[in-house]
Amino acid sequence: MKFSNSDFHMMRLSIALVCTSILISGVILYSSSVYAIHTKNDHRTAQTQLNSAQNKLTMARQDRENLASYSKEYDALESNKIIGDDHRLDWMEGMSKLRQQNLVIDFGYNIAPQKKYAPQPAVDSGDFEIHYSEMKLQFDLLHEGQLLNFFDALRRRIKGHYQLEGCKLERAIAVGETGPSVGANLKAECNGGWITLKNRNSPS
Amino acid sequence: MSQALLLFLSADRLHMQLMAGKQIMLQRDFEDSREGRENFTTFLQTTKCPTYLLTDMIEEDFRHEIVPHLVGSSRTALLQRKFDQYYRGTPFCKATLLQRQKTGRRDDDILFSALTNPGLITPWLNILMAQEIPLVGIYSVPQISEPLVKNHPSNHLLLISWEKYSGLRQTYFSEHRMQISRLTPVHAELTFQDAVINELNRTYQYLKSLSLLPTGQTLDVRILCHANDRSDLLKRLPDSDDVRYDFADIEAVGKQLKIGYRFTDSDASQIFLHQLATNRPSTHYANTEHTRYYTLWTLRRILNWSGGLVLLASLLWGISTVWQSRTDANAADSLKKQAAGILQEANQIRESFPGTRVPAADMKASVSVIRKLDQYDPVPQVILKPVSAVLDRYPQIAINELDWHESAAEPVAGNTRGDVPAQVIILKGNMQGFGDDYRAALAYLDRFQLELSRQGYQVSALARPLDISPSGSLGDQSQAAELELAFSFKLVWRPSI
Repeated sequence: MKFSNSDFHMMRLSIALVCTSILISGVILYSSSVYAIHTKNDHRTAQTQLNSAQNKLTMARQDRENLASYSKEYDALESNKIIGDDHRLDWMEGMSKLRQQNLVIDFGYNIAPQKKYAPQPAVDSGDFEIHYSEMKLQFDLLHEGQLLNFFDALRRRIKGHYQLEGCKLERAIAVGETGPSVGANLKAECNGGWITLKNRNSPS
Repeated sequence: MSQALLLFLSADRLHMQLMAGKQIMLQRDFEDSREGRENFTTFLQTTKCPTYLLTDMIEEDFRHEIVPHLVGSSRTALLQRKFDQYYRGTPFCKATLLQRQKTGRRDDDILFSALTNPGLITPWLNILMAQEIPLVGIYSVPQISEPLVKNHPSNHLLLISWEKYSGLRQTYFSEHRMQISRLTPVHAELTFQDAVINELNRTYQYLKSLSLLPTGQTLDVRILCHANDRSDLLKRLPDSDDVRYDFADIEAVGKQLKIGYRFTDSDASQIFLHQLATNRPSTHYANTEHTRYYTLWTLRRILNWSGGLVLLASLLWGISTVWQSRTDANAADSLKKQAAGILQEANQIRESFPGTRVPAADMKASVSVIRKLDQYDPVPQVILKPVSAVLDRYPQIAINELDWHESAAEPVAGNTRGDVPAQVIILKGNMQGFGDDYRAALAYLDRFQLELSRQGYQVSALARPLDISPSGSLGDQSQAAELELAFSFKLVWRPSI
């Protein structure tokens, strides 16, 4: 059977109906899928917001704990002038005061230029750079106890953190001989340095 | 409920009944006259539903023929040639495949049939087409009769029925396949019973003459009639060994076919009309032009249903999608509320912090660095005092040099910490007061080494006064005034875990 124009005329309503329903169906499917995508994205965003909020809460709690645990020690570091720049004049004044106390027969020291310090094993220093000003010491000692007392006094009386890394003690004279200084039995050389912490984010 | 228009066409009238499902809504008869056709035209102007045309006419011819089994265009051409040969003057012809032969070439056993007087049908058909009525097809009573005998056990069966407006119909089935059919008009002066008695014997002779009924074969006769006519027929039908009678109660058949019609006589028109509406055959006498409007009606229905189904499916899909998305939307709302609550809590915590210009994380980092460096740099007393204490107990040992330094490269011993550098002490000294007693001197030094080890140091000898190992060299010491019993030890210390 061949279709004629009059046949299409008879079917125009049905054709219009099916076209309309396809159009409406397309709109329904498109709208529902857009809504579904929107809600999925919204859900994803909300999940991200929740994760972010949880991280912020965790960090806030950690900060609260850190403040409680570390603020006093940090204040002590600040008051000991460990945070920030070198205080070389303080160190020199402190060493002069130690000299006046005659804790050892004699001593000399030399402070080298500041450099970055890389401890072994490595230490996680966060936002801080560890600065190191090497200070070598030479001693004339009556006995080794003087050396220990000297470093004990250095730590207690000079503001800063002196990192002692080693000492070499030698007899100044053989048993029964006279030493270079009056009563000096031992000579010592010690290595170490003044540690300061500099925040990378703070203005130089 | 779907409507259908059933038309029963006999030689002189058209019976019409409008069906709603299985219920007859309206019945009318139209005479084969100008007035009758005008009335039919008027009626059709208000009714447009699928229409079945059932004919019951004398002028229906049947030809049984065996043709080669063909398919496609060859089969179409063959059938058209046969139609042109047998039924040139009528467009109402059809070919029904009865069976395919089981032997030989396996030819097709085909029943050709036609309504040979188109002048009886065409006026009514023209009206239907002019009114754009969706005509499903043109059928005949013999064609519809087949399902009524399909369960009958006989292989040679004559079905007799009576249609009020056309007459007595006798249809012969061989092995349940229709072979021929005859219609005898029943006039007012001739009763149904008289017609059966008169025509049955003629039909029997006709079947015998055409050899359709094999010799010696009993003919089973099924008479479709009302119970009132049955007893009279039983009395009047002649007893014969060649014919066996079987009566089908028209009311029982009607009930069996669930026809909502009360039968008051033996008129079987309703049986055939119902059969046509519920179980229409696949072949009929109408061609594609006759059924054009039914094809269009079917297409419209398909389009309408398709449109509705597409709309419904998309609507359901959309609702389902939105419903599922609501879960996401509700979850997102819940998550946002949770996030807002958590943020508020975090802000409250931060607001409770004392005013400070340094972040807490920086405090922790700086304090942790200094704590760690403190561990790298133990107080010298902790390391040196045990050595001094041991030396006090060994007065014959004099230390000439003590070199103490840190080293991260030293191997880590068991039960000691590996995360801080080791403290390494090199002791150099000598022993006095042993004369030439090497054995006593070495034993003294061994005890000294053992005692240092007990203080927590890993002690290794770098040099001993005498190398008495198999790989060492020894010399004569008798000329020396005083033995120089020098030694060198390496002490490694790490804090224990």
